[in-house]
Amino acid sequence: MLAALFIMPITLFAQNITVIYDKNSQYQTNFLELISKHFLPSEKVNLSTLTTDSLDVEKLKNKLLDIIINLNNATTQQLIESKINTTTFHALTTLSRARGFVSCLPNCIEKQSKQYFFVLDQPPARQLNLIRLVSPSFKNIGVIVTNQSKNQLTELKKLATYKKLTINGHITRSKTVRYQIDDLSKYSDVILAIADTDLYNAATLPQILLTSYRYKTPIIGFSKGFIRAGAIVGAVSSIEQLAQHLAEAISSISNINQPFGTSIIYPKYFRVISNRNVAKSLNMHLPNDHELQNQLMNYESTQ
Amino acid sequence: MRSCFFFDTDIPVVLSATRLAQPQTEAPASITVIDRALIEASGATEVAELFRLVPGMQVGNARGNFPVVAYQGLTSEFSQGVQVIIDGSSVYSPIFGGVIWSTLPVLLEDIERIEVVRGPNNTSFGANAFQGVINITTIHASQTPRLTTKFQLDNNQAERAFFRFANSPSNNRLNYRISIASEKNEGYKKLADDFSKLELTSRIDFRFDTHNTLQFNFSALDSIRQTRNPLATPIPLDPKRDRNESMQFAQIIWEHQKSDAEQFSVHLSFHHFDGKDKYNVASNEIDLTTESTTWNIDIEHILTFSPSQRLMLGAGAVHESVYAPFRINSTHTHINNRLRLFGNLESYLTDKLILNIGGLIEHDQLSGVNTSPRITFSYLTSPEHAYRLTATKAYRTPVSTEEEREIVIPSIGIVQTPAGNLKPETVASIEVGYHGVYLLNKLNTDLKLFQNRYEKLINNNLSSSPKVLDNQYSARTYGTELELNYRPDRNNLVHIGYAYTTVDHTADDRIKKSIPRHNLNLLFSHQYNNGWHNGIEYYYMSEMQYLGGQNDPQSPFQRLDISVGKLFKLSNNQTIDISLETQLALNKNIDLHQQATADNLIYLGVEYRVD
Repeated sequence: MLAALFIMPITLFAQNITVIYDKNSQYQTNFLELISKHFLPSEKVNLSTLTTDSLDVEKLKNKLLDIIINLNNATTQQLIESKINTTTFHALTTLSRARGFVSCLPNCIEKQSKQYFFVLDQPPARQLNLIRLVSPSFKNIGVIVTNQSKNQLTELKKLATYKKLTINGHITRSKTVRYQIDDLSKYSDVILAIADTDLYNAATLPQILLTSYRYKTPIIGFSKGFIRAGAIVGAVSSIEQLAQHLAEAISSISNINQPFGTSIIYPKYFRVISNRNVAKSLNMHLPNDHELQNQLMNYESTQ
Repeated sequence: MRSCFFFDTDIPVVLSATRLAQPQTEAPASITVIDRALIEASGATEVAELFRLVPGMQVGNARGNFPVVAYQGLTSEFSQGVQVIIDGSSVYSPIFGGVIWSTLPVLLEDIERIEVVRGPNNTSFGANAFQGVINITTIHASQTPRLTTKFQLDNNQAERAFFRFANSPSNNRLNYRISIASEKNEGYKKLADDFSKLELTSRIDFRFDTHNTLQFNFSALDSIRQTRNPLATPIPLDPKRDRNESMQFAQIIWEHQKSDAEQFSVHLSFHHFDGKDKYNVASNEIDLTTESTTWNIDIEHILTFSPSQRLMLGAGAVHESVYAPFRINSTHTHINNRLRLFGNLESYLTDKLILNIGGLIEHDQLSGVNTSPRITFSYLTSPEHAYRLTATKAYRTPVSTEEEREIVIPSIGIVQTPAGNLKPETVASIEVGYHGVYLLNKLNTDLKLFQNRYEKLINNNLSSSPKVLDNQYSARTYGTELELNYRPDRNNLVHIGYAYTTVDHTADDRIKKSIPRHNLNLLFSHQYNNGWHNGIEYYYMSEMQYLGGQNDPQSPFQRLDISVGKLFKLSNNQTIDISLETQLALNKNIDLHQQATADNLIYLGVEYRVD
């Protein structure tokens, strides 16, 4: 009887979940509201919140929690170093940041069995499929990474070989990205922007977008703002979609001690956004956003 | 980490409507795009030379130091029918009309892209976009390498030095570049046309916030241009002498991106030209000084109602002052003010049929109210193939030195009097065009058939004495233009342009001769992966004779340019490019005057860049 209790899905009992967030961050607050809505009204979840300014990790370790959801990047290092034994989901972070905290990711689920990262990056397969849909003639894909995000280059190259594409990768620092973008634009059919805000941010975007446009090399962006600024298209997950995914993932956990087979969880829900003005100016004629999204989803459902 | 970057849409739009090249399949006219790759492949040593790549354009040098750029003929050395815009502001001269190419306020190395609209286009580019428009976009200050130096010399003792510095203080909201160029040239051997020039240009780009950007351009130039009547027999009243010319140009552009669908821009520009040329002949003082100042303000509003409808509305005002004592027989400064309203609506009537309709209405103090309508239907059989039918009417307003011309030569008397009621020259144009994109965007083709009916062309060739300028000429021209641009990969570029233009047989003989029948350009450029690069270009133009009393008939122009060079990468951020170019004048080409015979030239250039 007791054994049966342990193997029954945890969802039969109420889950105690704490969300750590920065109350001064608008998007973290919005995310919290969204996941709260997903869990309420539910007797299966006891949701509490903890702001970063009142966080005491030692006290947290002593609390009886099933799941911690951490929305704040600055808190991630603290939680990992504390070796907290509660299953922790770090959301609203990127793969490069996650690797900054846990360098062996994603292949170290045994070493970091309690830490899971719901990243903002789109899965590499989705990005390469999008590139093929945008133009079958794009064979040389330019990618710039930093030391922190360079493992992504390896994964992309493996996947690209399988899809008969070539990744033209460069490792650089944020201060020297302007030198690389010129060469990359010249020798690539398209540039795939990795979700690394050390490289792609409001300060560096003008030079990156203007240079790539000069060489008529489109950029695949990773956020709505980036695409609006001048990237040609991208698969993007909104805060609502990310919250939905996280809530669903939690609701369907069967083993709280090992909820997923991998430490990195890519967004499940996404939409495709394009910049038609830039596309037309480059003589590119894309299917409409909805069509691109449906085709991507078809690819994923058959893989 | 800047997580907000993922969700914050309040990021500045970099590739805004004004920074994007117009999609050629949807443009209401044939457009030749000369981008940075084509500029470098051409090996051009000055801006005017680039236009040999445009079908239908004529490029010459009235004396070695006065470039002429014209489209479809009908011009003297002052090509009045071509409007030139730099970053949205006109640099058209109110003195003689046209653009003074020797004092253009932009350097070749600072040009990002040139879009040449081949055909009348008052609606989008204002008055005097009569035959064509040259729209120059300069390089954004953030895109410039930190340091660039370039030296060039040729076997005709011409020398040019260029230096540019660029910087972006820490937060990248402010970017600036400063360029300086110094040039000396001895021009044609048999003409007195030596010149030396020093030019400074600068650009500052400042981003206030995510919705507002400010651009400031400033240029200044000082030159000494030797001149003398180019005829073989010297004319005492036009002796060999130096003419000191200076130019200052400044413009401020404010762009406000209100939303993805709405943009405002305000352009304010100032352009001053001063050409000092005063001398004595047999105790008579001749003052050929010319000076002009132009203030120009334009406000533009672009509204995208939906993916299938876009509206542009604008208003502008121009204040011009001209001082040309010899041409107008007056030491007073003549003023002209112009006010204009313009607009254009682009609308997809169906998913394949686009209507482009627009117009300009302008009041000019000299010539009254003029209107210029344009309508274009474009039919896209597919996104890559478009057929176009355009009808437009455009005009060129007479300038002060035409409207009020009175030339008095000492000891001879009045040789030219004003007409007093010169009307604007007009053109009614019909054009059928095709633009196609093939081979996955690697091959662009453009074909145009046109008919232009010119009326009230101002005649400056009358044999009567004194001469009276009048709207006496008319002409009907027909023709075709073809352009191919093939870029199979980054290392190869092929560009071909051909124009055939003919004139109705009833036109005046001089008018017929001013339009070359055939115009051909061929360019092939290749870059090797080890840094070597080479190119070959061929230019051909049929015989012609520019209008104007002192311009001689020209035999067909043929030139073969061959270039070779190597780019050395000294480190990640330092390069040196050494290049050698030869220009072979295959036909002993004559440029406007019999005395101006082109020699074969060999250029050696060295360019050093640091990022």
